[in-house]
Amino acid sequence: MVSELGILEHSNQGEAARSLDVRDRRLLEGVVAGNRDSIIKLYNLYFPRLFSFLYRLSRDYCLTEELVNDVMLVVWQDAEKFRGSSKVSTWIFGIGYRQCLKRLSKRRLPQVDRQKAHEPHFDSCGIVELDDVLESALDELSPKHRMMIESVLYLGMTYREVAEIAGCPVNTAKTRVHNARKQLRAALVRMGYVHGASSDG
Amino acid sequence: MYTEQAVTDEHYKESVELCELLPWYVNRTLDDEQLRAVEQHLQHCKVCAEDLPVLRAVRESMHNEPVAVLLPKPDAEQFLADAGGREQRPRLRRTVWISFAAAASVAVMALTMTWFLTHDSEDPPTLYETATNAGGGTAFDYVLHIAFDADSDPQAHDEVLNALAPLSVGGPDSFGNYRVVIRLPARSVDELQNFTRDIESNSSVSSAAIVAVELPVESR
Repeated sequence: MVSELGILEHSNQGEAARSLDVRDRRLLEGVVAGNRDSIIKLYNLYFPRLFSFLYRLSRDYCLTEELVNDVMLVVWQDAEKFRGSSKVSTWIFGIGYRQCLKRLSKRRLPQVDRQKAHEPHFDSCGIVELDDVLESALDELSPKHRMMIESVLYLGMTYREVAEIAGCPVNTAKTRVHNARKQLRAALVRMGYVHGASSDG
Repeated sequence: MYTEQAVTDEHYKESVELCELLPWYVNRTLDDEQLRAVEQHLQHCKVCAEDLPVLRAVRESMHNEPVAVLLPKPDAEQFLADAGGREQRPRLRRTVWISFAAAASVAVMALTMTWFLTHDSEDPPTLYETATNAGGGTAFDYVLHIAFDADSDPQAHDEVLNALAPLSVGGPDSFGNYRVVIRLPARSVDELQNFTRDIESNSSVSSAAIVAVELPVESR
């Protein structure tokens, strides 16, 4: 059931992604040719996704606005540098990934208050909200690890695409995501979200 | 959510390749063969089986996060304006600017080299060009101090002084010195030294020196 659904979705997703990439490539060609409408369309298409991705990484609204424009400026300036070996979206998010890492490395990240991070919000019924728990755990990851997780689970990138944006071999990308996953898991365990320890212990 | 026993690296060491593929199983970007392999792997890998709902929850949570509420409206026009060009790509603009700057630099260098290679001794030196430009004039009033030999012929003094076509002549003072103002195009220091040397070559002149250079009043 899962498999059938998975394969079906995978197939449809692949086709949709290819179709979107064809559209993006045409727009990028337009940008190279100096077509103003092409960069406007590309900007409008990528703004929401880039903003969400970069905001999730930086947690800084103003910085994210700057970053999105910086990324699109690079796209505009260096459109002819796109080699075509990856999807346009991968190329653009790769630029965003590197720009964001560069900016974050120049300043201290907003420090996560670990005490607070371990105290997720409670709703009126006193039930821990899962999103808060997960968010707190994600906040404990290093920017690089967080980007790995975001790239895969939020942006839905393939491992080849993750390798492309991170500028590393595919196996390294897999290992990095794996390490990020382990850190996420460790953070959740530290936060006390462990069930059945005694029964399995 | 997790069993504590499962939180070890031992499980990750087994079938590590399939373990590593789990995040992509969750985002459904694996090919059919990989999908089936991971599904089989999930049946006996406790860690991955426990991670699976967590990763799915993370994925869902990420997409549920109300970033969209914060999302500003894309303003491509503003972006283009901020980027500095509404009609052209910045790279093109920059290229044009760099080309222009490079061409201008080359031209300036070429002109400078040409000037150094071809200028003759009458060209004004930088010092005087600056003064000339500052004043807007092309000539200066040079104040000459000329001393004649005491026993020289006074007529010879007049010839020397008249040859200079002076604007004014003061003197002689009690020592027989004259203060002569002449107007000349801007001259270099070497040229002025040659000029005074020529005056001194007259047998009646004991010394000649320029003691001041002034911009003509009308040029100031």
